Amino acid sequence: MSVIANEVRRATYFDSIVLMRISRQVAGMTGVAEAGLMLGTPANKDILREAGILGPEGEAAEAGDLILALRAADAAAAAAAMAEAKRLLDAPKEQAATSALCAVRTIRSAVRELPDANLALISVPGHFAVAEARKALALGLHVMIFSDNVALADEVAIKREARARGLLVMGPDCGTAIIGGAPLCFANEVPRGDIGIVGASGTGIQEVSCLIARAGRGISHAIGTGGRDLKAEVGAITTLMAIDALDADPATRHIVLISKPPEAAVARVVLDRVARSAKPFTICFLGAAGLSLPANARAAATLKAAADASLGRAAGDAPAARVRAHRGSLVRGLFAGGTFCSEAQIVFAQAGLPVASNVPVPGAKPLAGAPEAHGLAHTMIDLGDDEFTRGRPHPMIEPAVRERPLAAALADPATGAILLDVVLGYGAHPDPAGHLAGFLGGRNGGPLVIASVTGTDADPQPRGAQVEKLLAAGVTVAGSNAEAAALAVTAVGGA
Amino acid sequence: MKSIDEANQDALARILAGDPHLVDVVPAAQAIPELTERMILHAGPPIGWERMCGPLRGAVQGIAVFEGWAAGLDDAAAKATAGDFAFAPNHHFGAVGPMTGMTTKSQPLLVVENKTYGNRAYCAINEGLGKVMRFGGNDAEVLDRLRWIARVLGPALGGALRACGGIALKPLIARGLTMGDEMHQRNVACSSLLLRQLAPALARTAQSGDELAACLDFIGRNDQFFLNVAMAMGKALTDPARDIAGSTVVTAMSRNGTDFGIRVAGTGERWFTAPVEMPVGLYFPGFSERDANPDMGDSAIVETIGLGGFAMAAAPAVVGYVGAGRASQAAAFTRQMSEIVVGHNPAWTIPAMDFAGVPTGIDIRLVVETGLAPTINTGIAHREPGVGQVGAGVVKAPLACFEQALVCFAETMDLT
Amino acid sequence: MEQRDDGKSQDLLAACPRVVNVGLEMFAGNLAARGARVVHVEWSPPAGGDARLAGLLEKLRS
Repeated sequence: MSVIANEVRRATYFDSIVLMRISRQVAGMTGVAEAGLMLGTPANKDILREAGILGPEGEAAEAGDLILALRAADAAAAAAAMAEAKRLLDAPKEQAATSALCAVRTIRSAVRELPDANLALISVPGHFAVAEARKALALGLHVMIFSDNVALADEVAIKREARARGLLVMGPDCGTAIIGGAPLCFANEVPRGDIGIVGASGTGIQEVSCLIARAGRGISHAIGTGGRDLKAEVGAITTLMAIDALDADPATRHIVLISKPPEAAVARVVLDRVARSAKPFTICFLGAAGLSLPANARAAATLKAAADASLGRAAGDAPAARVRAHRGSLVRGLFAGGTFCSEAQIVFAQAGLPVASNVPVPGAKPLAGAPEAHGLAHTMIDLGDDEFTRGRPHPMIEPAVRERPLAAALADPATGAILLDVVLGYGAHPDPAGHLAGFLGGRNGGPLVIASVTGTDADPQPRGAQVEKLLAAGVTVAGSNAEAAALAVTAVGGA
Repeated sequence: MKSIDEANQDALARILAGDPHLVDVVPAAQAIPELTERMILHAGPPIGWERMCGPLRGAVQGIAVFEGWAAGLDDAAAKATAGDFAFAPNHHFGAVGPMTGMTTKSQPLLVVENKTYGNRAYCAINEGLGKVMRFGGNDAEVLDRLRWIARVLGPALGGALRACGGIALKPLIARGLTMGDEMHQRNVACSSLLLRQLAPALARTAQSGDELAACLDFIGRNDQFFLNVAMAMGKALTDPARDIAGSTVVTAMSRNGTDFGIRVAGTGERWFTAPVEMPVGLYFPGFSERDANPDMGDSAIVETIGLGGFAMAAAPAVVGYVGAGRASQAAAFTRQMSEIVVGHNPAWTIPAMDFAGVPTGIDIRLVVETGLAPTINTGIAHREPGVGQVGAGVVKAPLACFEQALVCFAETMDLT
Repeated sequence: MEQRDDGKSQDLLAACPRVVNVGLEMFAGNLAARGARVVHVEWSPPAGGDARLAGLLEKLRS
């Protein structure tokens, strides 16, 4: 009979990555079914409640309080786990790289320490992010909001306020940007160059910038807009300001726009602005068809095609190689990057193959229940989607999150090929390929594993070495996520 | 309409523009005409006899006997219970007092004049260390000392100050900060500098060689003599900022052993009170937390102008002494206080912080936002009246005072 | 609300940004390791998470 244990620490804040590490350690203890240490915001309480570990003490916690929650087999295991959680929380902080940085308590004090500060990078819980963004804007800083779980109405309000001040808001839910040569949040080490990117998708920016880098060219700036900037309510405020900025930037000669297809009215506004630019554009509205584009713009259906177009290469060549699936006939895509999941679906849909997903693109089926229930549909799963990341780290930070679905796919006799994305760069796991290779190592037979590796040789995890590890583990490595998906199509006898 | 930030800059400017001089010592009745018979001013926000802590009651009893309003200590207690005495905060009459802070008509008060604005503030003369009335002492020894101060020391000091034209305090503080003082727990440098400046005038105006020797000896033995001067100076500097519409700057912080009170420029005379906290610190041999009295005194006026706990970086030795940590952590205290103030004082700088000015002008908005309450260096009194100081430590102003002040301020600005 | 256009976005792109990091310390660490100028804010919820006081603070911010 399981026991739920909760403790609440009033007005206590801890870095969410630190909390997740502790949660995982506690969850791994004997007799512990589930554990979560989270700030008591409404969104987090939902997560803990749905995980079945929120008790009355946790319910009573306020947004600024820290909730320690767990479920264990019995009272003894619960007590031991709670004690360990507290021990880990209270252990002296490790000597972090930032210990040399001067630590202050408010944005205001930070600006006093760094008077020429011009960008606030905000990754506090979404509940608090907008208030912090407002403080930053009032101090004349541009803002990048990494946080998600920000209300749409708040996004609209903060972007309008920023625009009135001539300041940029990248986000919310903006995971990647490269500004003035500096990689921000989850980004890669790419050379400076003359191609600018405006992206609603972090991994989309990562893929395109890395492909450009590997072709020997570079990025002037990659401006993230957040995933909802092209919704009608937001009206592309950041996208338009970003286009203005790159248009005026002497170093930028070509601009790539990356997003999922926007609503028609917003697309019109954006494309009208594109038309007024003297610079050439590549428009990658993933999966969009039949766009009416101005003369200075070309369409690209995939991220790989977008990179090629920006480099002046022709797009749409057939994949250089074909592969054969092993064993079964179905493809199982397991993605850390939602955009890669969408792109793979688009490649499959364009090849006429049935596909289902937890985040289906138009033309794909929604995924409900076990994959077997979908008969002959290939499945593409975004493991970074909310249903998988409640109270657990994002798969891009913690590759182990992918292990269970990967093991299931490997064991399923219906699986012919598995599609994976491996993302390198700042913020990512220190050795994603090594981790994956270790998990796959020593297999005998089983389905084909196809992976793309998004990164460069200058990344903290140099790409060349990462690819070597995957090849040594018997993984087929493609040059991009789109190419990996195309390879998977050939593996199951598609075009 | 002025913004809050503008009003706060105004308040800070007034505090920084002050030019305090120690100019005189006069009997309280002369400095404060409202001080009548059986009127007793005390430290902290308003409080009645029933809620007073042990040391404060002890001091009330003692001063009542001193002034001849009661036959003895028990009689004084009975009369206090019966409501024979009128109690009021020092702050309401332009005065401040350390610990119990007793101010009554016969006592000689230091006079600090803020020459920029012409206002004056008062504080009794520091009695010395050990068993004294500011810690609730009230026996014959204590009262005899008060009589000597009233009869000999006060007039001698007053005469000397008038003769030499008073002593400018701003440069003296600046110097003391470079010599290890923070002006709350550590005053030995300023006390020495003051005595050095006063001695010639004292020598010229003293009635006799014996009187001179006694005065020099009394002042010279007391490392904390300057505290009372610093406190009167603090009030003289903050009073001109006491009523600035739209400002969230704190103009007074004060405790009576039961309640901690603050005043804010934009809400004028209103007190925002909450229960005082217990100091955390080091105890003299033979004493421990069990013996400690809760926080007490008007001396937090010193932190209100950026000294004391705010200037801890100037007095690293104090950090260890008050049990607040290692000397190397002293700068961290000052840096923390920088988070909750409007600006810094260019005239009072701390060498160890690359001559950064002391953080000045506590903003209640920043206190509430960060949860960083002002850090106050303080002596710790024994809970029983008359025993004296048992230790020294650090105490925080209660956050509740600042939260209440914020709500009230928002209401006055029609912004709730 | 109209957009102001006084070149602030140009200033942002003109050089390596000077960053105030609020939240995950890892982001500041990565920037510092690359030699970027960054200040990490040891953030905690305003007013200890008290929503009413935090709301008042926003109104009094001027």
